Amino acid sequence: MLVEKRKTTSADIPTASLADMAFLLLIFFLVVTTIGSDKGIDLVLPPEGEVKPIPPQNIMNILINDNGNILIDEEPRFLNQVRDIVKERIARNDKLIVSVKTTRYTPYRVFVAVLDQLKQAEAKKISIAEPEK
Amino acid sequence: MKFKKKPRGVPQIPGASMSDIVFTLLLFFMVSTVIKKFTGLPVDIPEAYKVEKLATKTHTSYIWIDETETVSFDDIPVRSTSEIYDIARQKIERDVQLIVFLRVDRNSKMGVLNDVQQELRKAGALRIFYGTKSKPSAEY
Repeated sequence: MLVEKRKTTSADIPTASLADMAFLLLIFFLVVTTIGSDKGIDLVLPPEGEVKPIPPQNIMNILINDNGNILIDEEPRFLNQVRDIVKERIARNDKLIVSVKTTRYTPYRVFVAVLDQLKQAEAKKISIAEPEK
Repeated sequence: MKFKKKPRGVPQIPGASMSDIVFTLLLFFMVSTVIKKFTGLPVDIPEAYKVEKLATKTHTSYIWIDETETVSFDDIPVRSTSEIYDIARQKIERDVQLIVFLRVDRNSKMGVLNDVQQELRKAGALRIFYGTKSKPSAEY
């Protein structure tokens, strides 16, 4: 018996809509992607239980009270003065450590604003002191 | 003087490589996308001038503290701040490069934040980031 061989045609996948599918996926990822949305102020906490004696001339104390008033080395200051004062002090003494002390009721907003000022003054050594209870 | 007009066909853009271009773009966005992992708490973070960008998201954990002093650590609700120690300890053991990103409401007080920070210090998670919005630059 003779069976006639069927003619095979090459199977083709239609590629016309490929670009459309890729575009759809692309748009999805474009919408979902957020590049570098997390911004903030960088800080490294001191390790636990490490107490180093620091010569008092290398410490600058910043106190912020419950109402958000700022005291730098026993003198009341305005927020927008902090940057220049710190900058000047660092220029005189590059070993200066800026210690920021708050109370438990200091508004976080003011604390961040002071840190911002310190960062603007290029202070590298910032220490966050534990608040008094 | 007479110029001979060049015979002109309809200009065509080759469409064959279009899908390749699209796929390249697609791959770029797929690789760079980090789909949001946590929902967190609704907080209104403060603004600052001199902000830095968080360099990595893979080594970052998030802590939310809202106005009512509710604390959430990567969507784990924290009832007392001492729980922070255990969570942070586990995370730092898994990844030494851990950065803790703090999203604290602008109207909250320093008390809770300080407790959280003390726990993080104990756990050895020392690199922290105070999340802020960036304000348009002031006079420098």
